[in-house]
Amino acid sequence: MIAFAMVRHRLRAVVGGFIALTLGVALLAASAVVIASSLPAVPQRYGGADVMAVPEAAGTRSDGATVARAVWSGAEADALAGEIAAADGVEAAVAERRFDARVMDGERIVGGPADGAPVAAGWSSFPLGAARMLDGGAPSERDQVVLPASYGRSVGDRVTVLTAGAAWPMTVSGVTDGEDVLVADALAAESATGVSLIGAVAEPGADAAAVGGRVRDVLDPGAEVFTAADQAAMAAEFDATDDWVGQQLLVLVGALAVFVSVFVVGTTFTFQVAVRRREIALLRAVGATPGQVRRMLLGEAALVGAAASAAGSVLGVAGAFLLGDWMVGRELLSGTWEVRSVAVPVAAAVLTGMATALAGVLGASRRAAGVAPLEALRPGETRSEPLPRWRLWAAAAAAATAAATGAATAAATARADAEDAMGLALGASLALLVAAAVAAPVHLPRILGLLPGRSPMAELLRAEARAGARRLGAVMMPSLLISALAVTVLGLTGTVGAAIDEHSRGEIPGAAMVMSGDEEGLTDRALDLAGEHAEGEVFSQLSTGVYAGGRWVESVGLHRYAPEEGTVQASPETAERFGWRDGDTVELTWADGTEGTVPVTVAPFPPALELWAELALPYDLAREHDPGAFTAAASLDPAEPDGLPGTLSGALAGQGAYVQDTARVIDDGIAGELRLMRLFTWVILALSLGYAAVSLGNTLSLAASARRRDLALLRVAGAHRWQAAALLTAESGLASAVGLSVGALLSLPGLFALGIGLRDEFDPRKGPVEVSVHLPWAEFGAVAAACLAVGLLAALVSASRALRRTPSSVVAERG
Amino acid sequence: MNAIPHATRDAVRVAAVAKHHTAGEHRVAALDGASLTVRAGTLTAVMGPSGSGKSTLLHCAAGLDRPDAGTVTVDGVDLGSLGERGLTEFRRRRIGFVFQDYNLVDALTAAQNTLLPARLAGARAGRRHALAALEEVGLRDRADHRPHQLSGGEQQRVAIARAVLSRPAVLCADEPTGALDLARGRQVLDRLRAVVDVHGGTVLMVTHDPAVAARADRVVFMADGRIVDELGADGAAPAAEAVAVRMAGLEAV
Ligand SMILES: Nc1ncnc2c1ncn2[C@@H]1O[C@H](COP(=O)(O)OP(=O)(O)OP(=O)(O)O)[C@@H](O)[C@H]1O
Ligand SMILES: [Mg+2]
Repeated sequence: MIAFAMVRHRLRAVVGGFIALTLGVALLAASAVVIASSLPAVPQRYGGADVMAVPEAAGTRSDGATVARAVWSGAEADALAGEIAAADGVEAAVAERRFDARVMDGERIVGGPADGAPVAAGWSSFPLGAARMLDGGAPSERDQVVLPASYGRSVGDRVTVLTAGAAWPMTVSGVTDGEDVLVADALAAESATGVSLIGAVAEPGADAAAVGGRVRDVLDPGAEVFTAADQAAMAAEFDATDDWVGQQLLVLVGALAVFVSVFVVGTTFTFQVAVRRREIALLRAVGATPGQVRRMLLGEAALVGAAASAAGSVLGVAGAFLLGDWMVGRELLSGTWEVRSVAVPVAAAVLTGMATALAGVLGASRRAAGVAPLEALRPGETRSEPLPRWRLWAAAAAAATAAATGAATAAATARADAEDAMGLALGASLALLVAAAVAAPVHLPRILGLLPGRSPMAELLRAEARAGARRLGAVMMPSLLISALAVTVLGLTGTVGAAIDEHSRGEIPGAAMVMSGDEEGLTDRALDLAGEHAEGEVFSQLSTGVYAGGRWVESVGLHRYAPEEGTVQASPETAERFGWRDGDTVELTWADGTEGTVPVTVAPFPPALELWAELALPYDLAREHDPGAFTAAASLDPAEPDGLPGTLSGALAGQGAYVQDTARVIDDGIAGELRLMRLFTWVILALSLGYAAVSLGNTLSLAASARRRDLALLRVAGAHRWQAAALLTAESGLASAVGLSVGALLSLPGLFALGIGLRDEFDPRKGPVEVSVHLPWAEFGAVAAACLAVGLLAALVSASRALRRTPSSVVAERG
Repeated sequence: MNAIPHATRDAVRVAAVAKHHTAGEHRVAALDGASLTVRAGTLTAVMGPSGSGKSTLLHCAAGLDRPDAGTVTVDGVDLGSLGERGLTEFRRRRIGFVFQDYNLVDALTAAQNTLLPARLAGARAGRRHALAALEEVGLRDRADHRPHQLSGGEQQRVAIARAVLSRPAVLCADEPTGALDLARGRQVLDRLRAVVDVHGGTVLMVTHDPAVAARADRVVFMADGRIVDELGADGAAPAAEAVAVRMAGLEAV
C-alpha cells in the first residue's frame, strides 16, 4: 500500500526510470522475439516428414564447423528406401534427390532458393514437405516443372530450368505455396549428386518414434535417424538458414538495452533517495525498520518495473515485426524469416525488465536503509552530503590499476609482445574510464572551477559546481560513456576498414570474374562460354569433396591449375594426413557415393586455393561425380580486353550470369563488409544516444525539481528567468563537454592498442602488417555534437519546467 | 496495561547520559551527564535555554538517537541493548513521537499517516482505528485530506493521533506548540493532557513557553547538557510565574 501510494505521488519523479525501462524492455522483447523466431526450425520442405535419416558423419567442412556427412549412392539409397517403405506403419519412403537449379525466363532469373539448401528436388519429395498444391499437378513428363507461387508463374507458362550440366525448356505443370522447384523423378536422379537424405511419412495413427526405430533397423548403424517426436534435433540438423550476423546484432542491442536500463533506473532511484531523504527519515522515525525501507524501495521499483515491462512488451511485439522486416530487407535475416515465437521471448524480456529494475534500485535501497531517523529534523535536501569514502578508494584503485597496466603495456611493447600489449592497453583504458567516472564528483568541480570570468553568473556557476558535485558527476556520465564508446567503435570501424582495404585483397587470378545474378553459382555452360573468351584457361572452382577412408576431404574441381587428366593432386598437408606419397594410387569414395581408385600427385596449391582446398581434381572428373552443384566461382583473363564485357556478358545472360572486373568485385565485397560494420556501429551509437537523452533528461529534471527552491531564491534575489535557465543549461553543457573530452582522451590508448592487435589478423603467411589508426573525426564530431545538444536541450526543458511557477509560491512551499 | 499502578512505575529512566557532536574541529557536548526519571502517568515539561540539549535528551529518550555514554530505559527495556531493527520495532510499539514541524508523509492521507506505525508493525489496524484516533483530536472529518491540505496545528494533531494510536508507554513531543498560535497551541496541549488524564499515558514534552509548561505535572530545567532544576516534584502543579522566573535565572547565566 505504501509503495503504491508513494509511486503514485512521485509519478513524475519515477517517469524517467519508467521510460528508460519501457524502452529497454521493448528493445529487448523485439530482439528476443526476432532471435527466437530465427532459431533453427524444421524447414517447410521437410514439414510433412515423420522420420528423416542421413548418412554417418565424416568430419567437418573447411570452415571447421559444418558437419560433412557421407553419401548414399542412388542405387544404394533406392534399395534402402524400398525396404523402409515396406516396414510396418510407413506410408511412403523417399530417397531424396536434391540439386542446384536456376529457373530462367529467357535472360531473366525467376525466384530463387529460400535458404542455403539447393532449391530443386524430385517430385517424390513433395510429400516430405508441408507445402500444398495451389494449382495444377505433378510433373509427369521430363519437360514439366512445379514451381513455388512466389516465382510468379502460372500453370502452362514456359520456363528454362538450368542445372549445373544442362538447360531444360519446361512447362509449369503446378504451383505450390512451398519453396522447392520440383521436377520429374527420373530427371532429378540424373541431376543430383547421390542421396543425402531418406525421408519417410508414417501411416496415419502410427507412432513416429516406433517408425523411427524401424527405419533405424534398416539402415547401417552410422546413419542418424530423426523423428518428428524430437523437433529440436530435427531443426538443428536440417535448418539451412544463416541468421548469425543478424542474431549478433540483436544480442548486442539487447545487452546494451539491459546495461543502460540498469544504469538509468539506478540513477533515477538514487536520486529519489537523495531527494526523499527527509521523508525516509520520517518513516524511520515513526517505526519503519531499515529492512522495511529497503523493501519499500524495492516494491516501488517492482511496480515501475511491472508497468514498464507491460508497456515495453506491447511495444516490443509490435516492434518485432518492423525490426524483422527491416533486417530481412538488409539481408541480416533470411527471407523465410517470420514471427514464429512470441510468448517465451516476451516472458524472458519481462523477467529481465523486472530483474533490471530491481538491480538498478539495489544500491539506492541500501543507501535509503542507512538514513537515520533524525535526518527528518533537517529541512531541505542535504546538499553537502560528503562523498562516500569508497568513491575515492575506488577511483584511486582504478587509477592505480591504470598506471600498473600502462607500465606493463610499455614493458610488453618493448618485448614486442603485441597480444599482451593490446590486452593491457585496453585494460588500462577501461580502468582510466572507471576512475574518471567514479571520481567525477571530485575532479569535475575542480575542472569547472578553472572557468574564467568575474561575472556573477560565472561565480555562481563555480560555486554551484562545488556544491553539486555529485549531480554534475551524474550529468557527465552519459557523455563520458558515449564519447568513449564513439571513439572506440568509430575508430575500430575506421581502422579495420582501412586495414581490410589495404591488406585483405586476396590474390584472385584473372582480371575478370564470372558472377551469377542470384549468387548461387555457375553452370558448366557459363564456364564454357567464359572459356571461349579467355586468354588461357578459366580459373574455375567447383567446390566438392571426396571421402578417403570415410573421412571428408575438401576438394576442388579446376580448369586452370588442374592436375593431369585422370589424376588428383593433394596438398602436402593432405598427403601427410592420409599417408599418401607422390605417385601413389589411392582408393576414394566420390561425392556421389561411388568408389574408385586414382593416382595422386603431391604438390603445393596456388595461393588462391591454399587456404581451403585439400585435394584438386580435373574439372570434368569433379563434375562427373558431383553433377548436382553449381560451380562456386570462376575468373579469367579476357582474350580481347576491349570487346569482352559486352559480348561475353550478353552470351552469359541466358545462364543467369555476367562478368565483372575482379578489382570491382573485391571492392564491392569489401564495401559490403564495411557496410555491415558501419551498420553495427551506428546501431550502437544511435541506441546509446537515445539512452543518453533519456538518462540526461531524467537526471536533469530530477535535479532541477530538487533545486526548485534554490532557483526560486535566485529569482527572488533578482535573477531573470532566463538567467536561471542559462545557469542550469551552462552547467549541463559544461559537464557534457568535459565528459566528451575526457572520454575521448581516455579511450585513445585503447584504440591504438586495438590497432596494434590487428597487425596479426591478416594473411598469416605474410606476418604482421602495418595498421594505422583511423578515427573518423567528422563522424565523432557529429556524435559529440548530438550528445552535447541532448545535454543542453534536456537542461533547458527541465529548467523551464522548474521555473514555470512564481518564485514566491515555491519558497512558501512547506517541507 | 498491567497491575502496577502508574504512579509508582518509571516510564523513562535516563541515567548519566552524554552525547557529543563533532562539527569540524569543534566538539560540542549536547548532553553532559544528564539524568532524569519520568514516572508513568504524568506529563513532564523540559525547559531550558536554546542549545542546552533539550532536543537531544528527548531524541535519546525516544530511541531516535543513541547516547555516547549512560543508559536509557523505557518501559523497563534498556534501549542500549537493542539492535537497530529491535530498537525500531520497540519504538513503534512503545514510543510515540511528535516533531516540531515535519511529521506527516506527503504522499499519504491523514488517516493513512495515522495508521503508518501500526501498518509498519504489521498490525491489523484498520481505518476504523484511524478514524477513532482522529476523532479524539477532532479531525475525523479531515481523514482523507493530504498534509498539504491541513494547517500546521491540524498536522500537529494528526501527528498526535498517530503517536497515541498504539497506546505507547511514552509520548515524546519536541516543541509541539512552537509554531502555532495561542488557540491552536491550546488545542494541541489539550490533546496531550488527555493522553495523560484520560488514557493514563506518559508524556515528555519540550517547550519554551512558561504557560504551556504550567499545564504539566512537573517541569525540569536544563542547562549545558544537564538537568539543573525542577518544579512540581512535590506534586503541586507548577505555576507559570514560577517557571518564568526560573527560566529567566537560567538564561541570565
Ligand atoms: N547534528 C549536530 N551537529 C552538531 N552539533 C549539534 C547537532 N545537534 C545538536 N548540536 C549541538 O548540541 C547542542 C544541543 O542541541 P539541542 O538541539 O539538543 O538543543 P536544544 O536545547 O534543543 O535547543 P533549542 O531550544 O534551540 O531547540 C547545541 O549546542 C547544538 O548546537
Ligand atoms: Mg530543540
